[in-house]
Amino acid sequence: MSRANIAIVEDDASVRKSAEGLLQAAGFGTASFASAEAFLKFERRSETDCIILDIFLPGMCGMEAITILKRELPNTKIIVMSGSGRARDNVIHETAKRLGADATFNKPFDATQLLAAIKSLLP
Amino acid sequence: MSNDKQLPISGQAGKTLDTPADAFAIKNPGRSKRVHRIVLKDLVVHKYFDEEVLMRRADRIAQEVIKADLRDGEYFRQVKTGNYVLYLPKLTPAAGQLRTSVIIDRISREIRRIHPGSIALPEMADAMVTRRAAQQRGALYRRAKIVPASANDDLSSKNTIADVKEHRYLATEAFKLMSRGYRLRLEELLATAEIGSQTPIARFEPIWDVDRKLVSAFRCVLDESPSLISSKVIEPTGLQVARTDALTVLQAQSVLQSLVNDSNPSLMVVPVHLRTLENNAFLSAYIEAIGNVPEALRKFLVVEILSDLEKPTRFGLRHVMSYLRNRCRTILCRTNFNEDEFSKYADNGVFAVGLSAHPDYPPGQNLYLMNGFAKAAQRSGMRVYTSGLYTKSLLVGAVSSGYAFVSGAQVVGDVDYPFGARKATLDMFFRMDAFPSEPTHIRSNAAAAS
Repeated sequence: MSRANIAIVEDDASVRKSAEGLLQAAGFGTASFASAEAFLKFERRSETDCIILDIFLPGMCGMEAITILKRELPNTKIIVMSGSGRARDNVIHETAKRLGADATFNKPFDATQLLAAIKSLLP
Repeated sequence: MSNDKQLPISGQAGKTLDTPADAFAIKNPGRSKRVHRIVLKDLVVHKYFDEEVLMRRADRIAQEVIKADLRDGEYFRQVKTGNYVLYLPKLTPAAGQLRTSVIIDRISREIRRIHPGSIALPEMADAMVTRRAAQQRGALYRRAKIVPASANDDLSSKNTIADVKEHRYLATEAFKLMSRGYRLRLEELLATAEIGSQTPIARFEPIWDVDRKLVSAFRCVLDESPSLISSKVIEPTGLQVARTDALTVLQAQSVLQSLVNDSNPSLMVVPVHLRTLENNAFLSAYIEAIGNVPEALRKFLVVEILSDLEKPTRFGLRHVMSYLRNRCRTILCRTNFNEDEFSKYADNGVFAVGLSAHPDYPPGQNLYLMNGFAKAAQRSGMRVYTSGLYTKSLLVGAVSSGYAFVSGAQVVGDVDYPFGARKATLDMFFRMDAFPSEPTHIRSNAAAAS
């Protein structure tokens, strides 16, 4: 598999850093952003194969970003991450998928499952 | 005052006070936050009974109720006829106030049980103010004519007091009555408003019922333009707040009537500040405003109590709820993230307790706090609602946290006029064209269609 480019959009710096380390160790190219707006201004965003997107972002939220990304980058896979512990967390996951997300995970994410999901989504 | 006398300090089963500090507190009630007053004149007036005789009987009833209710280490003292102080050293001031309000409620019910002709507080307030005002002015109390706004009125220019001279007279009398601690009638409270400023409701915020997937309720959004004097923002006074609360009811009533006339009813959530309800001067005026809402409209009227947790309530929620309960469809209580005692809402029949997302917090922090609030409330069996949801993710997060009713710009933006009940799924809120964003007055739509 050629090296794929993965963007991480997450406002928590520690989560960004650990995701980057995990993906780079797995052989992926990475770029990380603290907000959806920052990613949408990234001039090489069209080269992104997969986005790992937090739902609760400052400014433009993850749900809104999904609808924009599906329009602007229809071939880019979207993996959504959200915090867990709510009564009906499946509502977030189901809504994200209806809007166009390809996979959803709860935070803190399981590294093995995340890598398996990325590999299954990318050709 | 010749009949009043200082009576000995009493305690539970005749027990003496434990410490000199206790004795000092009960002798100096104005200086201790753990001393609470009970004034029987607040509870009792009888239309057909001699007030002095009734007050003596009420005294006996009150002493029996107080003695039966006090626990070890709690004391009471009769200051004069119909006037008691309770000393509750083991309770916090707020808990003591709540306890006192429960005792007052029991005394009131016992008095009404024994003397069925005793009338409730608002009617009593009416009788007392009327009698005292007539005695002082030496003339019959002049009642200004309140003209309720009708559906066809342009509310921005209509005065609810018909006569300007009458308005000025009532305003003067209202301030005099307030300064003497009397309760205001609705017309007196409204008379203190400037002529023309009768429309506090600026917009309506649609509320989504998550389980029924229905937008059928609209919260009145008040015009919160601050008063500005030489660039300093002036906080509204209690009088201004009470007046706004009463005017909100009047305006909401007019809108509701219009909706019902058009066979397009919606639930109307009308906010009222707790500080209005717990202030003796304003409570009866507000209850009069709510009580004037016709029976046919009350089933659409939802009262939302806006509480300020930084100030403990004087009478407690139970006291407030007893006046509102039969005058509207249901009651909501809005609080904030610091709320940690939900059983009081459940115990007093509040339908749902809610809060607003904090506009300055990041979405993740808001959701974390909202989730905690919802869990704590739901453990007490309370429904929860939220507003001010400023991102779509917060909206979805609120739903996932179990909020039963949600509102905010990301649900449906505020509208100039309620658009009636509409089915709505979560996905619809992601579509820009799902709900009206322009003014949707039904008459203008009907006129355009014809």
